Amino acid sequence: MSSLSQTSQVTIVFSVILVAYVAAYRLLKFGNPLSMLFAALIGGLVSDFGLLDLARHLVEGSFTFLNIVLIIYTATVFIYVQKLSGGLDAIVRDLILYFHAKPKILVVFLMFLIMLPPAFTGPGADGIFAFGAVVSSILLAMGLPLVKVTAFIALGGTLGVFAPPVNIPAMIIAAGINMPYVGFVIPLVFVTIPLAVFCALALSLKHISGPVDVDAMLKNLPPIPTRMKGIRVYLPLIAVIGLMLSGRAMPHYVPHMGVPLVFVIGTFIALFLGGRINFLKASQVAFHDTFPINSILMAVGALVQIMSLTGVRGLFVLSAITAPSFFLYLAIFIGFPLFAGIFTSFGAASVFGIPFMLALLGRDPIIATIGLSAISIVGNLMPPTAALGKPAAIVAGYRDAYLNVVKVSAVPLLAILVAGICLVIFADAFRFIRL
Amino acid sequence: MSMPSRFFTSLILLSIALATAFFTGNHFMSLYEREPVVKGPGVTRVGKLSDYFPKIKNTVADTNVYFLEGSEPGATVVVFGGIHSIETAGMMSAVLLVENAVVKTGRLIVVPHSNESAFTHNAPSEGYPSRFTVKTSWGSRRFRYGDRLTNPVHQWPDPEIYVHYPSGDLQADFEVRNLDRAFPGRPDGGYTERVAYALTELVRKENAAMTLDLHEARPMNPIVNCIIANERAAEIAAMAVMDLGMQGIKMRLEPSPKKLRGMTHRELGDHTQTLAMLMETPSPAMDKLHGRADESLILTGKDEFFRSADHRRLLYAAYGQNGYPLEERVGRHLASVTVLIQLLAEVHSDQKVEVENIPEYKALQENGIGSFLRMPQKD
Ligand SMILES: [Zn+2]
Repeated sequence: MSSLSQTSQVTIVFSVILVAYVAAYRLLKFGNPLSMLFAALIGGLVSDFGLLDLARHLVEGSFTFLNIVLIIYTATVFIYVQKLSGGLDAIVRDLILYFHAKPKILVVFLMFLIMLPPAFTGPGADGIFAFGAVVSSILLAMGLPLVKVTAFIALGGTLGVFAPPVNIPAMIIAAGINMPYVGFVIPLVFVTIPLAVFCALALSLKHISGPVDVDAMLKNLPPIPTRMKGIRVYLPLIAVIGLMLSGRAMPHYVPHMGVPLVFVIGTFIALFLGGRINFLKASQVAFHDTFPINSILMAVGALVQIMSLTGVRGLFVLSAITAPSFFLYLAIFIGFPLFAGIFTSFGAASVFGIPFMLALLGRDPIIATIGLSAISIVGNLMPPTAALGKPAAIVAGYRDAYLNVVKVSAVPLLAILVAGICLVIFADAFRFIRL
Repeated sequence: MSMPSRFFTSLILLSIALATAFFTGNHFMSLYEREPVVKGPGVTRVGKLSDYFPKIKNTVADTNVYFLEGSEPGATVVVFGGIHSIETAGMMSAVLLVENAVVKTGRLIVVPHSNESAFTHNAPSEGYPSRFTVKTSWGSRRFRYGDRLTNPVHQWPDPEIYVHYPSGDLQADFEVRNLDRAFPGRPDGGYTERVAYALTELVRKENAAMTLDLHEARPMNPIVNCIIANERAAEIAAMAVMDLGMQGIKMRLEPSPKKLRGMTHRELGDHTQTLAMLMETPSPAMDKLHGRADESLILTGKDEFFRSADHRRLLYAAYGQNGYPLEERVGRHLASVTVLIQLLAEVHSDQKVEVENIPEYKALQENGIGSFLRMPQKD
């Protein structure tokens, strides 16, 4: 292979990785995470790296998203404990009682509810696990079909990834071009709110014509321990959101403990509020349920490491910075969300988002980065990985073909894509939203 | 799958996982073995960083401090390598100073591995080699590559926002493990702040007239091939840039930004008596544009992707005929150190430091780094 140019060599390696992935997934039926590891291993071997060396790279790469993996697991334990304590059902009851006369406001509120945790912690799965169960039972009671409920929750999770203050794809891209993650919050607010309102209404308007039948909805709720009322219900959430917010709002005074520990503290509080809870069982079920998404995140990290090691990432950077702008925009609009469907929005931001942003330098970097991050989050609903679409299906209990979830979310996803590409192409024109 | 076959599949997968954990775990632990730095003819004694801050004694943070003292009294110059471990030319230049330089007047104090923790890991997802080999006439020497940041094993988790001490300036979360964002440091801070505090104490207690911090940067980053100088060092840095230009070595002068906090050129200049400067040479391995990330990328800096990018004028350090060989980058650092030490006595007549035998720019390119590395003696 050494007689070939560097570009041809690396292109061959990338093709081999793609073929190995498809072969492992389709023919060997390895499942997504193992297929990625397999493709990574093959990519490393054809690049002439030794087996022991590659083992080190695969293990090292799998640590890329360790913090996110820990957050997903601890957040899920937090939610499951609240489910068992009756806390979640009590929140559903309260929301129905307060908002039943105004269903449009209620659905928008539910969308923001799912977006709230990931807006602060980064990964959308915590929002899906925190409020997905609450939101899905209310939406189902309001008459939305299950597939749309699943799409609603998945979109809430992915918009939460995008929402300020913590937009991890934007942070990854910013770090990749040596730009501090500063000045993103205000423009992100301006982009997030209209998109969230649009997505919530686009999925639900057809089904929420009249006021909600309060009694029928309350009847569907499981029995709630009588102690679970008033402020008591909200203590774990107040603790978690409060600790996260204060860490950001008053970093000078609040000691940093890390988001996983915040969820552990919230779990501890939740344990003592309602009925008796089998904590061991809850933590085991949470591990079981989060294993698929966490194993994907670890495999994506390993694959990204092999792509950096073999020069495939460098090839993407070179292609992006040398491509004519029409092809660049086309790749961003179509290729980026599809690759994010394999690599998750975080992996895609690292492997593709940074190259794209390097190619886009010269225009307003904050607005362009926000546009790219918007496009990357569409991938969280795209198969095969569908990093947030699949957890949403778990939480909502949706078991039919996943592709139907993508179909019913087509209009909202297109809206996010169009908003993103406009911010990328006309970054300088949108500079005014930075205030 | 039937029960027994399921059992055996699990057993096989578990064995693979255990074997992988064993082999890779061994590898990760091997990164704690420190490579020898040979005491050259100019080294008069070897101290420890913990001499300046005893709290880091017997921790991974402690590191060797090499003293090269002249027979004539004079001023003191401090050189830091490895504040960012992946910026290889910085560490390597410091090692070459220890193994070759001889001081006639004044003192040279060199810390080649300033952030020892950063040398004990590689950044996940980057795919960097753990070590690289430099060939010599008598064999070879291996060096660790490391990471830009402190190993999270020694400082974790990162906060939501990093608050720089004492300015209160807010920075991105991961910068909390960036030694060059932690100066002047604090004795009761996190690992990285404690190292910064110890290094600041060294500069203060040894009364360093000048402190030179050796780094590398991405060729696509505008701040490369330059000397970044604190205001008080602006004059001497400007003269050095001119002198180097006359030798055919192009370096630019960058004023130390007032608003970016925690860097040596800002904080050591503001909080101590020293003239603080930081030098950057280009390292293609640090740029995401690089192709195959192996030892040869670190050593030769040859990569066709950079040639293509240079043709399109996307680089701030020209790719040139030979890429970015380590010899050239180290030569650039050592030429800057040499010129700055000479100028110190010219600008401040009472602060004389005379150093001989610093490997020269030309000689490094002709003979290679290996010809200036000494053979470690087994003790
Ligand atoms: Zn540096």
